[in-house]
Amino acid sequence: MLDKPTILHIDINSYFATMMQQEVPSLRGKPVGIVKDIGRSCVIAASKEAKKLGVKTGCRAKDAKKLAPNIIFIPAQFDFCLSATKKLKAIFENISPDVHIYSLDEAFVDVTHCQQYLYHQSPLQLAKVIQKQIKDQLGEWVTCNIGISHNRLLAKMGSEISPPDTVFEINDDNKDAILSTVEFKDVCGVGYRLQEKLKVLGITHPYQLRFYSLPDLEPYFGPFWVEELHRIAYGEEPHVLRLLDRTLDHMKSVGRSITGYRVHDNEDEIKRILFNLMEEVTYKVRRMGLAGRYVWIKLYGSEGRQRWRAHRTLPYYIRHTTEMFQIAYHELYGAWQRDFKVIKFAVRLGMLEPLNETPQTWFPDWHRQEKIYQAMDKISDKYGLFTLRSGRLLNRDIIRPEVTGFFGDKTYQLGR
Amino acid sequence: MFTKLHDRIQVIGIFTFKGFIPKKFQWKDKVYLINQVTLVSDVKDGGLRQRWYSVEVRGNVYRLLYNRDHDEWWLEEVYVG
Repeated sequence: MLDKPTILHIDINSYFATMMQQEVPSLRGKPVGIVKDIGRSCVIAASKEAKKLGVKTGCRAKDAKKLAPNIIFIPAQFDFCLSATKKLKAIFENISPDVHIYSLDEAFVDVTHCQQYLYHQSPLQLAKVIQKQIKDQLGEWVTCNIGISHNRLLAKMGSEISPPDTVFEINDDNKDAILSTVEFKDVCGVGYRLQEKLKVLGITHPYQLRFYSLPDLEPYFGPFWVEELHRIAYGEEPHVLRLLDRTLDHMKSVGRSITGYRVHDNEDEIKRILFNLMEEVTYKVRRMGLAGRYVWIKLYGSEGRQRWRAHRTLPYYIRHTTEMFQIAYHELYGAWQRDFKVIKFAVRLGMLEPLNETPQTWFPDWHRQEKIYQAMDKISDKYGLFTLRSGRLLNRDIIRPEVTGFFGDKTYQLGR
Repeated sequence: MFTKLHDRIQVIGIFTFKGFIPKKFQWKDKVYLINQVTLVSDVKDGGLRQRWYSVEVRGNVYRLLYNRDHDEWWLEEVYVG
């Protein structure tokens, strides 16, 4: 009889950069910075060698160059990484039915219920086998950290604090020692702002929180975070990880954002970019048989504080690009003061429900549009999205779908 | 940096229990012997299923694309290492 769960957290080291080094052997052992595309200035992933020189994910290319003068910048190959993630998922699902792909390069594998049937009953042995299988399937250069513990917080913590290509177990014997030495940046569920607030009080490690009473902390963090921090102090799962237990019948929202190469103030360009993003959003919504009634738009300027957002909750459901564009562009964006140039665009359609569970409109125009979109979707399904496109997107570069490390649309991507 | 090419090629390989492994390809009348396959990726764009083989030949990496629907091989990109 197993008294505690056994959870493995697998984290591929420097995923985008490692996959590129796997593909191009001459890059192995060299500092590599992955950028989104040629000419882009943000490093979205750094190789192990670049990290050793101080290059961090999210830093600017020119800063990375100062830290690592020999760094090689290469555009990401998102499709290849998604293909590799699907292979990882297959490896994990061969071990246990309880697999949760957490992001493009991270997964939780719960072996509690199947451990007794596995050939390698020791989790440490099993972790070594997983590391070997990953090398066999993805390539010899691909390494991963594996954290083992009785819950997801500690398993993830284990993989975060262990050196590359190692296995680390957090159990009752070492848990308190780990919680008193681990930094909050390695604790899932504690973001940068919360870390800074804690630092002001002199709290830098989870264990320290045990010495504060809940009423002491509540004025600083509020009732929700006090409970969360208290759980983390004792190595229990925070809300963000407990949410993984929810079984979602379908996605609740679909969004898309893009950061431009430069700032935009040309109305035609802005209109085209927003339409392009909404085409992708509504296509995905229709592919999943859904419709939504929450339209959201957010624009960012190049200065940190330049942000504008608006949303509308509709009394009816929509799923056509023209419907979403009418609300998001003509009504919401149309009311914006335009007080900064835009560098980042984000749109979202939320409050999604299955189309057959939503009230159907009686307007014949909507049904005509629906037939047109269904016909277009059939062509997209066969030949790819944007094979057939609106006149608004003709003779321009198309913003195509792509995956991100966060893997927000994993339900859509892995469900296909 | 990868350079885009998009040229038709011919490929010879072997089938193993792991699937097809390209061994050499002919590009513009020249035959390239593949030293190793460094990555195999399956990409889907709509209903189009594409299999990409990244292969290393004398230190350079070539991205070969096999279009399953049309049974065609393309040399899409090269990285000169």
